[in-house]
Amino acid sequence: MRKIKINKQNKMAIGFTALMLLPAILHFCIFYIYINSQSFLLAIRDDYGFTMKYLKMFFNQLGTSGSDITLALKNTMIFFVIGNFFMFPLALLFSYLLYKKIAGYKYFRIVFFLPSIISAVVMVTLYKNIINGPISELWMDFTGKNYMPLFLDSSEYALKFILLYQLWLGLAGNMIIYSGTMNRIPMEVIESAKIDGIGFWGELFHMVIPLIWPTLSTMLLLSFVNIFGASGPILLFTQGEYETTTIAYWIFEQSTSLNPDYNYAAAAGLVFTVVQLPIVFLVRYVNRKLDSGVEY
Amino acid sequence: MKFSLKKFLVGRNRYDKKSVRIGLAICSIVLFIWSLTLIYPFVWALINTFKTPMQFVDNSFNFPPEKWRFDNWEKAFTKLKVPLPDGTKEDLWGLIFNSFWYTFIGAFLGMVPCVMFSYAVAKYKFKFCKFLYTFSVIIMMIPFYGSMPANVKVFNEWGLTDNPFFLIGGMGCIGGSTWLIMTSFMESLPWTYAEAVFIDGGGHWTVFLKIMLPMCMPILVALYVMACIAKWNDYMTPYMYLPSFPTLATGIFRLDSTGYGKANRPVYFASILISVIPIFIVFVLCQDQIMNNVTIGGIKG
Repeated sequence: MRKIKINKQNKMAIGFTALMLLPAILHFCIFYIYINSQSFLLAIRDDYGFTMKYLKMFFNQLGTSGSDITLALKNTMIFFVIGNFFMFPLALLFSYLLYKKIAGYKYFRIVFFLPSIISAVVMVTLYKNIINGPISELWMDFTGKNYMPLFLDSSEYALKFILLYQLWLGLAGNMIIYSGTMNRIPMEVIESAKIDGIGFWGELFHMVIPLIWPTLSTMLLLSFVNIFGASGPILLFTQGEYETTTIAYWIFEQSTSLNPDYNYAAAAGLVFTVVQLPIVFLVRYVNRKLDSGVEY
Repeated sequence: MKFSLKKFLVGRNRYDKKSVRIGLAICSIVLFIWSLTLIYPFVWALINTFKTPMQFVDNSFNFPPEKWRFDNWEKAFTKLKVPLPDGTKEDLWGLIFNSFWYTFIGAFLGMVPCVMFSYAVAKYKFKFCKFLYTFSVIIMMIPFYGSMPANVKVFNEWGLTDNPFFLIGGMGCIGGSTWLIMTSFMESLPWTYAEAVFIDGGGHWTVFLKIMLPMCMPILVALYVMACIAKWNDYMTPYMYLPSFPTLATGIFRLDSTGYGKANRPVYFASILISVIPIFIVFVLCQDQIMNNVTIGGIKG
């Protein structure tokens, strides 16, 4: 690949490049820098001037067990752990099975991808109706009890059933990116390993994962840098009731309620962003250390 | 092509070890059962669109219904109404119209700055080139959790809330992953054709519009379709910022708990299935484009 070198003699190129970069940079300045600086100001300033009130309020809540914030933090961590330590390997294995062309792989490729092209609104509505309808009826028949179990409308079950929903649909998460990358691995490399007698798991752990590592680590990195954003479709399920709220939903709730408390929500967001920074740098450091230097 | 049952059942893997072959067969069976649970809700909803509300409450499994109610599909267009802030109501046709412009125009606007930005970074060597790349990656990795309140406040102040011009807010590309995919694709394109054009006296715009853009088409189509799917299914953004322009996703969410949709589930299910059809067609048509072209690679810098 060659690049066009830009210098003073090449005025046309300067103008062209500047024009090409302009829309993105302009948008960035207005909708990113300006809005985020406003967000920062909201956290430390209100109509009466600069104040630490909102930050103090937030830390106060954070120290109180059973408050909305601690609950949201706990639930967010649950979503994060399930997503990264359970669903991530499962989705990778699924992509590998498709790559190995297991029986019916074309059918699986379409069916398991359906949740990614169908709106969460539709999936959640159908899931709710199935759980509250047929599944609850089956539960009543099975246990012999004569009342509805409230799987989605009680603190005891609601979060578990939202997690179940995530697992049910999450198998094809990132499937497109994984299989796209796996299919780019040259056949000769795999063939030569097969002649040397590599098995099914050997191929996965010693060939495929190292070869697609740059992509994998990028995906992991992107999910790790969004720890506090891990959530399920809480709005669609419970609107944060029955102890299911997460940080992402809590901030949404604060900004869109009838009496929005922008300052308080911005203060909470600011704290989470600051806590996030060292995590980002740590993950990036580890990521660089593990870089295999091969890429397909 | 001839369909071979044996090939379908055993798959294409050629492992000599029996244990591996059996293991893979079990995986297939488990996945097959799992896949049925994904399809069943749609079949269940479809069956129930032909029933009366009473029949549905009575027994939602029952098939075929005692009396077929085909008019439920018609009622989805005439009876379901989403209330708007100004007191009027939007029917299903209105929701479909909103979904269409929100999706196709929104996704297109989102692509334009990204294509331009990626092209300049991938193919032109200038002072800030490396800086822009690294900067963009860093921005991508620092999520501002608290920017939603500021967003809502600023959009309100600027009058972008509840205004179709809201779409320009979604034209960002620095800090997203689309430019990353695009840049890595563009970097891999050969530059020889461009040199030929320069020798023939063509300018930068000619190279960009006539040579490079057509070569980028596969990835652009794939990314555009993916952006369309995301916009079509996005319920949160229109719900927050465009209350007078409910899309199908938002409308269906609101119909779930209000009015006719809540009382008459069969009609509501019909509207759900209608909302799925357009994007499903787009996906089926462009399936190969998406599946084969999108790779992200590693982040450098």
